[in-house]
Amino acid sequence: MVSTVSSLIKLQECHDKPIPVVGGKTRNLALASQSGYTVPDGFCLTSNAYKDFIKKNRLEQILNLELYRKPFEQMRWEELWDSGLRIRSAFLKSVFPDDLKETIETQIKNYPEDVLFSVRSSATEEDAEGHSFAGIHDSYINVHRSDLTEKIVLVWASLWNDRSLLYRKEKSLDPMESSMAVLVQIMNHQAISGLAFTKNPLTGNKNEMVIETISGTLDHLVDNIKTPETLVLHKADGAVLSSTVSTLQDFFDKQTVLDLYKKIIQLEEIFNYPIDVEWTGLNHNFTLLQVRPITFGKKDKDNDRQWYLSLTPSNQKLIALTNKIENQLLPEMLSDIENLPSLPDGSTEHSFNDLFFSIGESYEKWKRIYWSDFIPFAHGIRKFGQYYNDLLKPDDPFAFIDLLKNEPILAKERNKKMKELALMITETPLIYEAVTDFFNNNLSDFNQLLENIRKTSHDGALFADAFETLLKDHFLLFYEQTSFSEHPEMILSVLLSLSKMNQIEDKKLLSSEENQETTYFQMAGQNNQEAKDWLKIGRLSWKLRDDDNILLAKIEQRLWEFVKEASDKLRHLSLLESDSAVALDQWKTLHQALLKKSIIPKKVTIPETQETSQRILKPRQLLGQPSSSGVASGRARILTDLSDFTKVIPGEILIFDAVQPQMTFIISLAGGIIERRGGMLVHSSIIARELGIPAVNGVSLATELIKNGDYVTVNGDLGIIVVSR
Amino acid sequence: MRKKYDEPMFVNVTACDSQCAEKETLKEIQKLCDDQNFAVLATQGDGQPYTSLISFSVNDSLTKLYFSTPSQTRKFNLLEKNHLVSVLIDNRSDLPTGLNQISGLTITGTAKVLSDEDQIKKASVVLLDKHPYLQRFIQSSTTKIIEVSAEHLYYVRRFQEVFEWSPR
Repeated sequence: MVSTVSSLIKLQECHDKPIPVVGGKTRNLALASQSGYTVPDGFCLTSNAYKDFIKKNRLEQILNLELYRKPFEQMRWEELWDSGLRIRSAFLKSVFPDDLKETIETQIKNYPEDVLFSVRSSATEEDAEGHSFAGIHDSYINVHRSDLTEKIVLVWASLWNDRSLLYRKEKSLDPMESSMAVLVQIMNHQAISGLAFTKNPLTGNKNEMVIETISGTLDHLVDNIKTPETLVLHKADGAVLSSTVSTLQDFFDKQTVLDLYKKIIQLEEIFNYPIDVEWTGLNHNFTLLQVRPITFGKKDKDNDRQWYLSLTPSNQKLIALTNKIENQLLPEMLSDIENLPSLPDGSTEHSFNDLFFSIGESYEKWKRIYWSDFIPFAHGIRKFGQYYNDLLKPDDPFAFIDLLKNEPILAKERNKKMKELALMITETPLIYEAVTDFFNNNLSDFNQLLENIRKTSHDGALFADAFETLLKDHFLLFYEQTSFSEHPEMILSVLLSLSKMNQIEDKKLLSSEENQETTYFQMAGQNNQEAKDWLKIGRLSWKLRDDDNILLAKIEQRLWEFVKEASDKLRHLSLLESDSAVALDQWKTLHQALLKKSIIPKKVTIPETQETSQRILKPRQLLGQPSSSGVASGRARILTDLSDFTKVIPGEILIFDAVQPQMTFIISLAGGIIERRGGMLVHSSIIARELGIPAVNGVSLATELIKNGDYVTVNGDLGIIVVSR
Repeated sequence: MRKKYDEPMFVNVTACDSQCAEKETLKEIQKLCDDQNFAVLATQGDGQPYTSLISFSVNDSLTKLYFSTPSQTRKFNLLEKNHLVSVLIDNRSDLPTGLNQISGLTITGTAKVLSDEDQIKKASVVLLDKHPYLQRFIQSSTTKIIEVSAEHLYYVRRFQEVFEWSPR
């Protein structure tokens, strides 16, 4: 017999429906309702409604293409986010089935016209014991009936958001098998709301019940906007063990606390495991919003995931972070960089040590802030993108980038200066000859070359000055245990290559961008301020995402100068062996050794054993994601360290493991770009899109599978690399 | 220090370098050949390609592929005239919905009708090991056993990822 499950079931009737149909959240609430608890009136769109939507819009293949594009374990955070965004976009552009729309309308026509709804995920693995997807899927509150279907679609789409995918991998839940029910309820606004835990979520103490409470609706508590008052009760009898309730004490007389305690305890008896409850209203107004098993007890032992989850701050946190970065951190960092101490000339050892230490401390501080604030802030671009897509529903889910890309980032300023210098080489034969002569004859005295150029002519002197300024302004940067400023000949060789390229003009699409901005604000309508705020967050986030690496590299550079000086001093004192290399992060050890005149033991390094067995498989086509459109073919050039930069011949296909903003100038020379690190918003694809250079990234093992000199084709429209030898 | 941010995000998963990736891929190809009973054979005549379904077996090193056919068939006549053939082994019938889960192996090479008794015996063992139900068919005097020596192999997965190699 084929059982047909309806796509909509009234909440009160969900208590005996299977979790795969109504989801855990709905069923738990319906069970509580069945036992006499008040829950807001509502209905559940079953997993069948979801499946019907997927089927009618043929979304299975889109999901399949996104989720099995490459082995999950090779996916980076940003690639998952990209996939999530593309899926979300496809959902948003899909058609909501008419029959389902009618069913919903019939259901809500009895409610008053101005009633507002909550639309919440009720995933079919959610809130079951052992699988809590708390806070992973989306929920919406205060939704007007005219927005119901769109919000339902967004909740469905959140089954495939990046956070959800991160958990699914570990819990071995097959994305193709997963489904989502949605719980729609009328909003219930009360003067006081809160959470309750029948076991202390912080200590795991089973003899305690914890109640957290705030005035107003619960979302302020769940999103950590307001700090709650906390009551700790003795679980056996409800006696108050501790309480911070002060401002809300009018609500909490002894009788009320006892009433709340009893309701929660009886609820736990129904479920028979420690529960986590969301509620609103007290005494006879008490209304249950959610009940689920406690998962806090077994705190995520994995710090990595905690960290990854911190990368998607909530809207409120992001707004706070924006203010902190704009008004405090960024001005402070720029001022710190401005005031970084230089290497003292012939000063006392004492003052060197002090300066060394203070610069080291500064480095540690900004490294910390880079991790704790700057990287999470990069999510601002994505939040803006999501806001933009919800508003405009564009065909290209990454169209929002056009509104960001004209921000004056440091790397762009550097590239512009480099172009100017390249043009001087092109236009001044004497400079051109001097520079080509230097490289053709493998000369090594760079200062001599610069002096020679200076002497050629007035233009030569201008060039030499401009080159020195370029180095000073843009290349006092630490990079991979060296500094760009230690390799001026590499910079010059890139300039020479640039000078040989005919077309090095940026694509300028200013007018279309202005149109796009106008459309953006038109669509925002009365939410103009909100749209403005998101655009501001998006732009600052965009700029900082590129600039932070460069700014940090400036601090690293100065510390590096001290590290080198310190190691020279130590070698001179025979405290450091002459052939022993030092790394930036050893600065504390070097500082201590100088202070205490102690010997730095030589690091024992075990040489890596390289297996050199013959490879059988040759790559013919490799897959990545298209990050800048167009098709280009050419010889492959793998860039692993700075010495490779000088070998680049304009038009070659450049292959990177990961491109940092410090080195994006080399992209101007590329015919095409391939990168192992994936993401639509990684530094290389931003520059590549701007220069109109085809790029594919997220290509697993790119630098290993492709060899120097391979003839490769980069298909930046489809994300495919074709290799021929 | 930026390493962590750059790396794949999943815990308890060891990243595979190119060496281990190759081993995994070769295993995958071997499994495809073991799991599939049937393949598509392409022969040609006067420039006209002709495809047919066959039951096949391969040797462990994937250098030889065997199938059998009555000597009156069109494919037999065509391959007798032109030895250059191509065979496609794929798993589309296992996973009809997932474009990304389909994989296929294309073998191009030379077909030879076995006539040496010893060779026929050996090839029959390989074929019957996988297709015991074909015993009567294979041992019939009108059935010929064909050996395809692989020149090039092309393995396609995830819609567009392609690896190639030549056994020699």
